[in-house]
Amino acid sequence: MIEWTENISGEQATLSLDGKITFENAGELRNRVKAILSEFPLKHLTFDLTGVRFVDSSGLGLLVSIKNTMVKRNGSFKINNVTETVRNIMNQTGLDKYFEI
Amino acid sequence: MENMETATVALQLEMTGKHGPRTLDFSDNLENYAHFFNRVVDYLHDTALQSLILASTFESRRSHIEWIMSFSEHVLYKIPMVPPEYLSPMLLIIHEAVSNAVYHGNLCVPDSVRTSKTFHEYEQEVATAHPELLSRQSTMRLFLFHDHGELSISDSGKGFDYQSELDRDQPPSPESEMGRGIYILKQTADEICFQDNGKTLHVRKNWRQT
Repeated sequence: MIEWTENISGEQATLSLDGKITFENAGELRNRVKAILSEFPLKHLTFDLTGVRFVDSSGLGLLVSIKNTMVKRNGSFKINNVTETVRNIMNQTGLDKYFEI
Repeated sequence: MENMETATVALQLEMTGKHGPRTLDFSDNLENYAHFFNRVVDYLHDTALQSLILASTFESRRSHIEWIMSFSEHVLYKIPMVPPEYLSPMLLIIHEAVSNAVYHGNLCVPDSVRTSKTFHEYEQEVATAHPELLSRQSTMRLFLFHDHGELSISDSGKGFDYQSELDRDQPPSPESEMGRGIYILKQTADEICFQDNGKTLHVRKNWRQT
């Protein structure tokens, strides 16, 4: 189960997420990000993961694909406020440096 | 079609007591998981609980996956045997094992679809084109003891080249949008092995010195 609130302003957007990002729901989140990116001229996207207590490999894959998309747009993707569980799995997979958490 | 779906759940609880050890068995259809959980919950946080076996057979449908994931998580977080710092690793093992069995094993979801469609969208597509894939079953057994946990899961697919995945000693490149599942399982578990051409996976996680 994942829920989020969106704060979009000019070229910046922040999604504050709450729940778990897993193989069960990563696709829904991907669709929403795609829709936001096609609707708004965003350059900088931030995910606030304060409320995210769990991420699996599909969730990690989603975060990577969003970063790849933003880099292709000559923009940026930042992840803020990772919880310990999420930090652990990012460390395990070498993504902590990639996301600069 | 609805009533032809098969999803079962069974719990075997080993309890101690003044009259010696006893075993309690419960089983139901997985769709009743919330009701089933309410029936067993008082036993789950009983200090007399010595070990637990959760066995489930389910199909490759979104609803079944949600039931078993939700039920497993509830059980895991209720029982007294798993130390708090091992809850997330066990949950991670269950997620990776189930998604591997269902996505790769049973549904054979192509990588291109995994990065472009939701589970719900893919399920609708498969329901039209290859409905038999959704009926493919996985059988999961989760064993929880005072010193360790074990998970085994078998799918109905054709297997895969698991050895090259197990041989990987570096994570996939950071830009890679997939391919981390088995690596994460290997990193998280104390023991991992595949059998039957990769259709059966066994994982063990220790949480106390034996």
